[in-house]
Parts: sequence; structure tokens; C-alpha cells
Amino acid sequence: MWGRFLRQRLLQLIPVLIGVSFIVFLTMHLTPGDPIEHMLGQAGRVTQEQIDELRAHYGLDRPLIVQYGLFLGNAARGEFGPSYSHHGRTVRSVVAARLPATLELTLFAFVIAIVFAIPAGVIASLRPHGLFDRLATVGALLGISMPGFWLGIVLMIIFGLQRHWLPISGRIDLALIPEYVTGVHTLDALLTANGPAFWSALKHLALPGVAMAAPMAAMVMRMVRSSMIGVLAQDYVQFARAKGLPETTVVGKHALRNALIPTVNIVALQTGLLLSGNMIIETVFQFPGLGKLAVDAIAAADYPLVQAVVLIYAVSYVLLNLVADALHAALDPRVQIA
Amino acid sequence: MAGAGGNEIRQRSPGRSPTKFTRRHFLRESMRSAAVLGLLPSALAMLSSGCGRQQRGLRPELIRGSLRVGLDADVQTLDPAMHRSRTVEAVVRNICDGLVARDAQMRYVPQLAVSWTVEEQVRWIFKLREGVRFHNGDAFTAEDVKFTIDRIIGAIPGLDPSPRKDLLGPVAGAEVIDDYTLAIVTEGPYPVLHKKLVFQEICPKAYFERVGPEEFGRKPVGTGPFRVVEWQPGERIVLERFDEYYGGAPDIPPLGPAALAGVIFRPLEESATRLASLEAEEIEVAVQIPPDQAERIDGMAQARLSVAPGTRTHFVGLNVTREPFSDRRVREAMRYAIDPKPIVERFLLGRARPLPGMLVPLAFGYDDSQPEPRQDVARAKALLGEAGYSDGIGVTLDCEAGDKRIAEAIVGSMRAAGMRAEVRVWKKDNLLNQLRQRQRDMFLTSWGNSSLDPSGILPVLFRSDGYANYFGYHDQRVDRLLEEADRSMEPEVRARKYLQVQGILHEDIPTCFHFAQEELCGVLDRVENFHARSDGMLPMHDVSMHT
Repeated sequence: MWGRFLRQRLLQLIPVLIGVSFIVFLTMHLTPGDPIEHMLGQAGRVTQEQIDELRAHYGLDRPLIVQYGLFLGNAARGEFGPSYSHHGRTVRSVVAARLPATLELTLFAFVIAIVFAIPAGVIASLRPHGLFDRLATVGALLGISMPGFWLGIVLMIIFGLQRHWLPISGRIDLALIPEYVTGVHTLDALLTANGPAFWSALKHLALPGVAMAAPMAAMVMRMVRSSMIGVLAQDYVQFARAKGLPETTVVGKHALRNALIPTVNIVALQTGLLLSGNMIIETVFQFPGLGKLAVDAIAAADYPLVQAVVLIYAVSYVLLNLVADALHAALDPRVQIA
Repeated sequence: MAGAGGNEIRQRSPGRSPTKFTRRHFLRESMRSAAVLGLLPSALAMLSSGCGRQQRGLRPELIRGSLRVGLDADVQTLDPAMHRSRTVEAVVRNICDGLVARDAQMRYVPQLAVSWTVEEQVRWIFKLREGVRFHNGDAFTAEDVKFTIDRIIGAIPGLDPSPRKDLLGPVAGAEVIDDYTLAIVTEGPYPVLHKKLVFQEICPKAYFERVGPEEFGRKPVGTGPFRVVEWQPGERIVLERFDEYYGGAPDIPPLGPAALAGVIFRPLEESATRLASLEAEEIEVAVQIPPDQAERIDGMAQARLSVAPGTRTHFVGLNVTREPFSDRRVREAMRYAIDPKPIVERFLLGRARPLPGMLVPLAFGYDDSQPEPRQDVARAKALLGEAGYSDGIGVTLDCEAGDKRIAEAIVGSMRAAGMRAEVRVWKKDNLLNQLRQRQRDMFLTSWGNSSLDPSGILPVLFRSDGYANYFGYHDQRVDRLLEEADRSMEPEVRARKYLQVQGILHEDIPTCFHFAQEELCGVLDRVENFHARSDGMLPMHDVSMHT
């Protein structure tokens, strides 16, 4: 049953990816911008001959439909060819070098958002319109409304420049780089039992992580709160209380579990948004991940690199939805995978 | 999201037996694994602090003795032949030396070459320095120079074409005469070869062939004062002192190995982040400080500003193929309409210098007899009247977002002279696209020329077939003079021809309102002997640091 479900859903990925790649390909090629012009820049001697030579080398002189066909053929084999802006390097190696940073930051932001939002939502739901609830609501409103880049800069100014508590850019203290295992600094530090490196990597994650987690935490908190209020009003909760169960058991065990079911979908959706949010946050914090890479690649009209990064985003988004559906089925006994 | 896959999920009919994988089972298992995952890190962290194991990663003494530099752009490769980026070059120049180098005053001095002579105008014989070694221990010989040149001009089959090919113009190839003598052959006379060799760093043939282009771009080996320890793309480039360094160009003392233990370059592209990092002393040098933020550095107790005249000329281009600027008198009116001084003072805070033409004062053949540009509204109005535009003209000034304020100031001063103009801001790509088609009236843009030789800027802009001749400018005398200057081996003859070209351009006015911005670097006071350079290079050999 699960096997069929997974197979079906993974097969659905294929048309999604083809659609996404086509749209990205078309928009990239329709917007003005010439990768070769970017490569040569506005300085020194530039001749049309050299431009033509480079254009031919990268196949940019061929008809668009041929270029797209070649791209699809390569992509099917997991190859994206050479990057235009990272001259002499393949897209695959450029992306591989940046992926761990983004994974680390996204996961960190995810954990912060969840750890913060679920308890806050539960506490707020216990006394709707109470003091904590009102504070949490204002906090959530701020979290949703503040643009990521603005929050990022404010955090930088307060915690980095004024207080000097946290570093404002980069991934880790240069003196503490752990031995390379996976490229995820925190994980590498753990695997090599390097306490100081772990601590340093965490400190570097703190500001971008919080800036990235804020909107997600706000959404999740609001969701937990409202579904908890709904669940707490139900008969079985009243029954549990009437039985004389301690309030912590009633709330933590009986109510929360049911309230989390709708939250799962929101969490999955918001995690997808985390991925897109990282373009801004990574640029503000000079965090060398995929998001910043994508922004730079778009500016340089590096078509294959943009394609590759967008496809990674698309795949993760689809997979996250898949996980949400699977979790939903696992958590809710009324729902079943067919 | 239930939406996309909602069809697979349906309500279970009541009374059906539960499957083997139950909700409880799932929750229990996930709690258990979460607990294990949560405990693992703290256990490992405790283990590490308890054992007092040695720190891994970069050696602490290298980190302590390293100068940290905040760059204004990311570095996409470390391969000297595979980029057209000044930032990459500034980093790579510390790893790989060239045959020729420039000192701080932009004078050309031999580096890996000892001397050179020119035979029959097209054969440049270079005597090479002996006893120089690459970082991997290989000896530096003429084969490496030949390989470097051949790779750039595309004479080695199977390798990606180098975007630096144009920078070597008519170089046809290189011949090894003996281990330390080499001839570079050009198609026709190429008077500026030695100047252009400043931009080409020498790569080791044997090492490149062994590791291949991808690995070489990641971790190149050169003869420079520093060698690559690691490059984490987007994050940092760590270099350490090469103790067996031959000493560098004899004309740029001190000689010997570098003073610093190492250099760490970090791409910090947002100028605000770069400045904040300097203020927080996370870096010692911040390059490319925008003029409006230079004052902030003056306000920092522990930092200073280092300044050098720039080599990139910003200018207003006039489309000579379209009305009204097809009339020379209207172009001249433009020249008199704008007062560059207050614009430069106000918007670039004096961190720029108005120029009479396209060349900067440091450039070879710069015409210092031309008058400083000055405003003369009455004359501008009179010229417009002569041209039949006594009611004024209406045009559009195009620019990129970053130039908007200056463009608006230009438009403001044009208004005083009876010229109605509006600013249109473009994305860079769109603007260039439009300019190439010569469909616009006038535009604010720039062209860099760190070679400081007119051959790097005048032909590309003003020859009829120039790649960036967005003005539609066409003058047979200019074409001929530029061609002759490009081909004459006599510096005096070249200088004379460039003077003539500048004179003609001053008469014809395809461009006006020229200025060059200063190169500004923020430097912490503990850094000694670091100076901003006109060419934007960051040679770290002579720099030292006290703690």
C-alpha cells in the first residue's frame, strides 16, 4: 500500500519537473541578459569574435528548442553541464559545494520554529485572549509581517554590532573549521567530536536561523493555538478532566496529539517556504548556500545553474508535500493511504 | 499539502481493521528516534570536551597570523585563465605571479621575466628568472609560460576557451627557445604586449595536466608568495605563506617571503555587511567602499581609509545617429549644460574626479592640455538655438538603478539650459540590449580600463566596429589613428596618435560628463603597508600586521 503510494507520487514528480524546467528555461531565455556578456564584463578589450566563439562553445548559438532538448537529455542523466558564471566548473560541483550550507540553515530554522511555536501555541490556547495569548498574537503578527531582510538587518545591528554577542556573517569561526565529512559544519563537528566547532557553527546559524524561522514559527503557532482551542472544547477532553486526569496529561497527551494533525500540513508547507526564503536571508547574511547561489546565478544569466537550483527547490517542495500527506495518514486514524 | 495528492487519501470506512503500521506504533517509534538523535549530540559534545582533543581544521597559528579581507564580489574560480573578474584576479595575483607586474604607481616591472627584447616587431624574446619553484616543488621554466599563453589563446585542443583571449589581442603563439628563454610571437606589431602580460599569471604545465582543469580551478599552484590551503566556495579562500618564494619583482622591495602567515579572502558582497564586519573587526581590510559610506570609516577609531585614483571611466554617451544628438551643436550644448563639480561633490562626496575625456590621468597618452569641463548655460542655450532647437529638446537619459541619483542630477542641470530630459532606469541587461540597437538618446554607463593603455578602451568604444560603440560614432580618422597606434612599436608615435584621437573626440563629443571614482578600501590600523591600488589588485606580499 505504502509502496504503491510512494511510487505513484514519485512518478508524479516527472511531469512537475518537466513543467518547472520548461517555465524556468523560457523565462530565463526571454528576459534580456547574455551570459557571455556577463562573463566578459564592461572592461578592457572585448571583440565580437571572442563573444561568438564563447557562445558557440556553450551552444548558445543554437535554436532555443534544441538547447532545451539538450538540457533535458543531460538533466535526465543528472548532468547540467558547465556553469557559465563559474567558468571551468560543472554545475554539479558548484551546487554540491553549496548544498550542505543551505541544508544546515534550513534544518536549523525548522527546529527553532517548531521548538518555539508548538509550546507557545499550546500555552496561548489554554487561556484564549489572556495576556500570553495576546502577546503571542502580537509576536505572530510581527513574525509574519516583518520582511526577512529587514528582520535580518535588525538582528545584525542589535546582536552583532551593538552587543557583539553573535557573528553577523559566515558559517563558522575560521579557526574552528571541523574536518570535512559531510560539509554540514554542525554535523561534522559532532561526528569528529569537536565541541568548540559545534558551538561556533551554532552561533553563526543563530541570526540567519531566527530571521528565517520567524514567519514559519508565527504561522505554526497560530495554527497550533486555533486547533488546540477547538480540541479543548470537545467532549472527550471534558471527559478526561472529569475522570480526574491531571491537566498536563489532558493537554499534553489527549488534546495536543489531535491538535497536531492539521499542523503537520502547515509545517510542511512552511518548510517549503523556508527554502525560498533562504534566497533573501542568505544574501543578507552572506551565508554561502543555494539561495545566494541562485540569486547570483540569475544576475549572471547562468542558465544551467539557475535550472539546477530551481529543480532542487521544486523536488524538495514536492517531496515535502509527500511527507506531509504520509504523516497525515500516519497520525490521523481516519485517513488512510490507498 | 493534501491538495496535490489528495486523491490518494480517503476517509477510512468505519469498522475496518487497522493496518499493521498503526498510528501509535508510528508515534512511539518517532519519539524514540527523536530521543536518540537528541541525545547523540550532547553525548558527543561531552565526549569532546572531556578528552580535550586537539582542534581540527586550519592551524591556529595560521589563522592568528592571517590578514582577513572582505571582497566585494564572489570568486567563481581560482584558475587564472578562466575569468574576466577583477576580484578573482586580485586573489589569484597572490597565488600566481606573472611575467610582468606593476608597482603601486602602476609602473611596469619584470616579475618572472628578467628582461625582454623585441625582434622584427613581432617576436618578443623573454629571458626568464631561474631557480623559481611552483608551490608543488616543480621548477618554473619556459614550458610553463608557453602553456599559459597557449591555453589563453585557445591553442590547446580539448580545453574550454578562455575569456581572457581578447586581453592578449594578436598573440599568435609562444616558442620555447631554452628552459629560460621564450619567444612570444604576434600577428603584426603589438606594442602593448608587456603591458597586457600583467593580466596573465603563469600556470604550471605538468601540474595542470596531472590534475585537470576542474581541480586546477579549485586549487591552483603558482609561483606566487602565497599558496592555496583551501577554498570553500562562497565562504572563504585561505592562503598561507609560501616559504620558498623567490622574492618577487626586484623593483618592488622588500624581497623574500611574505610577511604575513596567510591571507583569508571572504566574499562579503553587500557593502553594509563588509563595513559592519570591518567595524566588528571580523576582517582587517574591506575593499570597494562606496563613497557615501567612506565617512563611516573616518568615524571608526580603529580603522582608516586608503585611497587611490580609479581606472574606470563613467560617462554620458550620446547617440549620434538620432536626433537631436546627431547635431554636433546639440552635443556641445550638452557639454556646457552640465556642471560636473557639484554633482561629483554631492553624490560621490568628492570621491571622484571629473575628466575632460575618456582617459584617466594615469593612462598612457593622456591629454593634459584639454580644459577642465565647466558649465556655461548661456553658451549651451545659444548652441541649441543655432541648431534650431530654441524651444529646447526633449530626451530620455537611460541608466542602471545604481546611477539613478547622478542621472537625476544631470537631468536637473540640463533643465537650466532648456533641455527637457527624463531619467529611465533599466536593469543592466535590458539597458545594454537597448544600447546595442542604438535606439536610445543618451545614457549613463561606464567602461573599465585597468591596463591604463588607451588600446584597452578607445577602440572598443570609438572605432566604427567597436564592440561597445553604443553611440553609433563613425569617423575614419579615428579608425585609422587607433589602428596605427595599435600597430606602432614607437611609444612616442603612439602617444601622438592618441593625443590626436582625443582631440577629435573632444571636437565631435560622442560622450560628455566623464568622471572616474576613487578606489576606496577600509583598513584596520593594525595593518601596515597596505595601500589601495588604482588597478584594484590586492598584493599582500609586503603587508604586515601587528597585534
